[in-house]
Amino acid sequence: MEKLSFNEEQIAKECQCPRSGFCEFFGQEMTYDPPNWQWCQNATPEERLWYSEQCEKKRFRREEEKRLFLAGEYVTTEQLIKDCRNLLLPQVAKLNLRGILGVPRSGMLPASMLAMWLNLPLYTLDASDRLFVLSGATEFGGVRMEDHKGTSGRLLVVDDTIYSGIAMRDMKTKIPEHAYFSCVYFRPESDFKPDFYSRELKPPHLLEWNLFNCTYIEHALLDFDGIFCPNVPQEVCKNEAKYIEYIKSVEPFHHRIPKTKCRGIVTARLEKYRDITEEWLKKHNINYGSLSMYPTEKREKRDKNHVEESSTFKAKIFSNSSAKFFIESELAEAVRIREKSGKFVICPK
Amino acid sequence: MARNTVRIYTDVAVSSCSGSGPTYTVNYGSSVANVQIGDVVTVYKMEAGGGAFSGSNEESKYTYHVTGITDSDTLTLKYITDSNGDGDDSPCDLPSGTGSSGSPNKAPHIFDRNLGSAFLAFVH
Repeated sequence: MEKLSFNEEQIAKECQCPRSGFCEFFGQEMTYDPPNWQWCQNATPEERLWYSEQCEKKRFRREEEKRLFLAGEYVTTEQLIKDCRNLLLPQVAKLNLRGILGVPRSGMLPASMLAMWLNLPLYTLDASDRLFVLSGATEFGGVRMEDHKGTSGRLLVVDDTIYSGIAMRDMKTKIPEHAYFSCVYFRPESDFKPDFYSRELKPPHLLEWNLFNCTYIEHALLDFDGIFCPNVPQEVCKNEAKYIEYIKSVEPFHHRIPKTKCRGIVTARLEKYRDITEEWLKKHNINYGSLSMYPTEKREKRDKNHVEESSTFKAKIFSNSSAKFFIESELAEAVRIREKSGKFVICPK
Repeated sequence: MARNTVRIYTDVAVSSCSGSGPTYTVNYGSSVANVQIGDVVTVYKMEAGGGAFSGSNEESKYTYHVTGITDSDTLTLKYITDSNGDGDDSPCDLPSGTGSSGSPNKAPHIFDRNLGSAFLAFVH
């Protein structure tokens, strides 16, 4: 991003930027398309001053968002299972239950685990909001579920999180019978209070099981190797022909294909492999805003101290971007990116 | 003077945005072919995952003007104001309150056209 100098006294009178780029007066990029630089060229002094106030408010808001994000929590799928087993299960184990009803989709994860652990039928609602038992090929889940046919217990409705309470309230209106309501993570400010929950979880939070499906991914920068596909094995890296063949044909991690456009990809892969990398991303339908690759001419420097050089490269891009978090595959690099950028970094297992 | 407005589209979902303000290029999930330059876009910003807009519970009401039309589903919008004084923000970064805390949905856009005054004057 090119930084353009400005004369503060002159700026109110006329735009000081000879071309589009980073404007120090507004503290942001003034793009050519959409026409923000052109807007400034034609704006009145009052309009420029008005917009600089807007930018000040925007900066303050982003700082606040950054602070909130740093205070937020990243919950792994492993932690969800632990919290469900250690905190929710003991509360519901002795209830007279006739089955577990999962709230699709992410609620089915803890619901399925509870149904297994308690040896109870697993239910969901069908398209017409009728109770539907997930019994596989059998009539009612096979011989192990015989004892639960027609028993008088209640259903336990389970979701992974209750935030606003909308999904649970909606569920409650659809269930004709008296049921218990539960979740693993509960936001205390929610206006739906469940009967049971594992623990409170305040916003903002990122959940590993829906991280790549969620809209937050639009605010993320992502590492490449180790995130979208396995890291290139060391022995392959030593032979360029094998390396190229590998990065062309490696299978992606199918559970990490973002469902919406991520802010950008930042990788220590060399710039000279851009064409192959872009082709691979296109082949696997990975939608991204920008792709930043390590300068090829600095390869020796990178290889002498890979962790330090890679993390410095990534942290610099992360710091200069409005992305809220970075997803990095290597723990040592993740720690350094966090230190250097002061922003939120996730290192998924 | 009373103004006549007509609603062009209600609750149009946004796909993606680019630009850092005050103008943004916005790509929509469906056609907005009936929009004209000068139309007003209203977006109700809610707390992420905190519940849908129900008439008056918004954090802030954002107003943009349509300043350019790229194609049937891509427009250029310019930030005009917001009721809470939160300041310029991307029309894609305003949560609708629906979705979940882990995956908040983006607020949909409402398009209105100001037709001007109905009568300039009554003549005896």
